[in-house]
Amino acid sequence: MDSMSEQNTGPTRWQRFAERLQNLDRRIIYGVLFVVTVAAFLLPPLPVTHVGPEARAAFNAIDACPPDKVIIFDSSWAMWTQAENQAQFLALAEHMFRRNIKFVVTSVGLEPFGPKMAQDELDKLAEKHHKKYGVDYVNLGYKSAGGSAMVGAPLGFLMEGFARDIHATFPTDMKGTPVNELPLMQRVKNIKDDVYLVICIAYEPPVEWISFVHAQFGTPLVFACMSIVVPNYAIYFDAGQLAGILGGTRGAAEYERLLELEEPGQGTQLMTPQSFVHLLIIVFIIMGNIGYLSTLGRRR
Amino acid sequence: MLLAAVDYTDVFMIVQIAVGTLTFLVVMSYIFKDNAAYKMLTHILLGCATAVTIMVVFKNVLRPNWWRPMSTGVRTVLNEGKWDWKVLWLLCLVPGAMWYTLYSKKHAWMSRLVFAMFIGMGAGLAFKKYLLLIVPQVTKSFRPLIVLTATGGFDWATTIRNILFTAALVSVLVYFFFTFRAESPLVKRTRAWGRWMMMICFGTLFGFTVMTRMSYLLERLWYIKTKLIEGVFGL
Repeated sequence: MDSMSEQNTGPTRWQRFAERLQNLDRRIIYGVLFVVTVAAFLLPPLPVTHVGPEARAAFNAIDACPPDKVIIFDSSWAMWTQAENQAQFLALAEHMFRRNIKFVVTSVGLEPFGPKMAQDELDKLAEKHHKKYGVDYVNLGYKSAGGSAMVGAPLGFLMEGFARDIHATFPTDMKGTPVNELPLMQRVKNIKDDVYLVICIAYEPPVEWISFVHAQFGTPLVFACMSIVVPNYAIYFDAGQLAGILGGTRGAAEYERLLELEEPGQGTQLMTPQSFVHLLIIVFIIMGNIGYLSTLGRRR
Repeated sequence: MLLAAVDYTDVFMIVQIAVGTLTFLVVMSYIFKDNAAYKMLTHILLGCATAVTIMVVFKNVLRPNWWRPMSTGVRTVLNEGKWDWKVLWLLCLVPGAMWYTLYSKKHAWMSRLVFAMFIGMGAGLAFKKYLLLIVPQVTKSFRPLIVLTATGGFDWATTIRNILFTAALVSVLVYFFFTFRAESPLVKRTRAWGRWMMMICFGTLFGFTVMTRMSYLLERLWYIKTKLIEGVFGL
């Protein structure tokens, strides 16, 4: 009789399975994730069917650039952010080259590697679109804001100085050529008169652009950031302080959709496995919850 | 099939792709266990990043913005005997050198002067930064709760959006009023709603975090697929 009652109070097979679900070895999860990802890479890229308002607004803002103005293309991304920033950079540069929009690449205060990363991509794209360095685009390189803990303070100064006098902040381009010798830079002196829009690509574009450039000079801003920080910038887009946002790989894929590329771009290609991975994570979350709810009564 | 794609016949390119793939695999080995190869790689990365940063800062910042104008000024004054204001760039060395007195107990007071200057500058700029950042946010928070279209119809979507926005804003503000006890059921419910709003927000943040973390993995796998498997092996 005693052994019978022990059997009744012991965990059922389902409960044991549910408990096991909650204590899955992380290596099993990683293994399944890896298999799903590899399988998804073998599939043809899925088409992007929906474009969000942030990416559409960014596209429209850039597309409306008048021929007598230029765009500041702040390339503050690096190897550790290229997972999402590279696809965004390629899509934005493709758009500007196609539309014959002149642009000035910089890295104001954030990322020493940014201009080099940008130049590697621009060399290929410029050749494809028959664009000439110094005439259609320039790369002014990097300017540090001071590597101190109080980096916020010098960054504000640097940006304001840059906005008022681009030549004083960047006397030479990335290769050391004086900016006065570059045909494009002869007509680009400051942000207020010569720049139509500023794009900043970074892991987390600094909000100093909003305070020290947009608020003071009225220059529209487009931020291209990693997915993780998209919610931080949504409020600025909602309030009209940002003209558009490209959020992570998804933002890049949406932009590629608007560009109507002949072949799927990097963002679109990466979004296919991304979508499958998201589905898998949802399945894992459901499984974990089923496990948790199944053992809840027993634990109580 | 090796070197099938003509683009990758360059040996340097193949070495680059091999190193890229190998380092990725070493980093991923951390999933199973911390190991010496992973540790070594982190040290190499830190060393490389520091070296490149120093070089870029010198080439792109110090040389064009300080060294060249300063040396031009000094040469003009010494060689031609004429006054050149650019020579004043030499003065930057004084506050710059004062930072390093931090390492001497006797002269550390000098570094505090520069610190004080930076803190004052930082406080002033921070005030300006947040004023210009937040004030437009506050003004844009006042939204109509009933929105009509240009033709006089009822704009359901914007109306619901604005009501949700206002409800979230007010309830979260009430949630953070710590200065009084929530006795009234109205305040209690508003706070509960505020907590729900924040939980939804944190869930969204977590979703985006997962997306970024996955992007890191996917981009590397994509690199191996396109550069190594398709590019080098031609598969």
